[in-house]
Amino acid sequence: MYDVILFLHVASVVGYFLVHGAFASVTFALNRESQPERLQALENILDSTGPWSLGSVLVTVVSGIVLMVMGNWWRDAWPWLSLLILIVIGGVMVIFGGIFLGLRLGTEEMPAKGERWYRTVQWGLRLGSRTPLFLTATGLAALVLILWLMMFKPF
Amino acid sequence: MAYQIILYLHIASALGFFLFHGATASATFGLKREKGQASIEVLLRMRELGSAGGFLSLLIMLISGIVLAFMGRYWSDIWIWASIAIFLVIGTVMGASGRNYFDRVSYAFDSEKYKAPKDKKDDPEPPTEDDLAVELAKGRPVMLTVTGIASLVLFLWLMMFKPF
Repeated sequence: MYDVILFLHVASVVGYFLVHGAFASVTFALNRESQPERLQALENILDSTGPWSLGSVLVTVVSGIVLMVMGNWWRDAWPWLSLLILIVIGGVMVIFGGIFLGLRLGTEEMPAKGERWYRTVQWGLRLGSRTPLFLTATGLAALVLILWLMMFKPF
Repeated sequence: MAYQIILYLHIASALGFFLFHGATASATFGLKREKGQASIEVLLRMRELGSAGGFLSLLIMLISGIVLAFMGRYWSDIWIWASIAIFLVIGTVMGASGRNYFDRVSYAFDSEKYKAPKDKKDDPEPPTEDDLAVELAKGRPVMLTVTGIASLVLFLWLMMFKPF
């Protein structure tokens, strides 16, 4: 049973990467594009892949937690640390990726000074066209760390 | 320890490959949906980026996989030959359907920028908008996805459980 859930866990990670590839490439493409028709084509890709992305990350997390209980890994520090990294990187991606996509696609409005999210959006704006690179670098760093924790279970 | 490091590289490159391949796959689905010139151009660019990165990560995955097979002395096992056979079959299917489709659409879209497919090399006339519509309609993203996922499930099963 453990092996079946492990298989599901790995398969959902692979699925997530397949879907996330579309997201990442759209983010880079948005740096070059300004024409409405092109932006719409990119937004359509995000719309069609969004639910799959959420679904696969959900299966990954749920199966990961089940494996943690089944394998008695919850006593170790490494699964908790990987979960923490996933939550942090998820937050970074959602906030900075969301600001970048929302403003480039014109689906989000700038919050006024003093409004909720104003400061965060200002941080996001400072990154500007470097946002895709920043997200890729943080994403890769998280991947390297989580993969290391999963494979070597160091503590 | 060296085996574990190469295995780490193998898995990381596989994930990298899927990340890049996701861009190509979404471009294939996008081309089925989008009809405007500008949209098609943006999707073809996305596919180019995905292909270049995908090729590099595929190469690292292949080389590290061969090194692992030597280090783990897996050559006498059937599962490794089965995975090589699946890899060759899926590579041929994807090449014949997926890459060929993109080559034909790219050429029909911009015959000056992209190379002509073999059967179009001697055509005296450049492709028209109708030709582009015909080529776009030939896309089979669902078939390619189903084939890819089926082979992925088989691959994963062979790699993780090494059944025979």
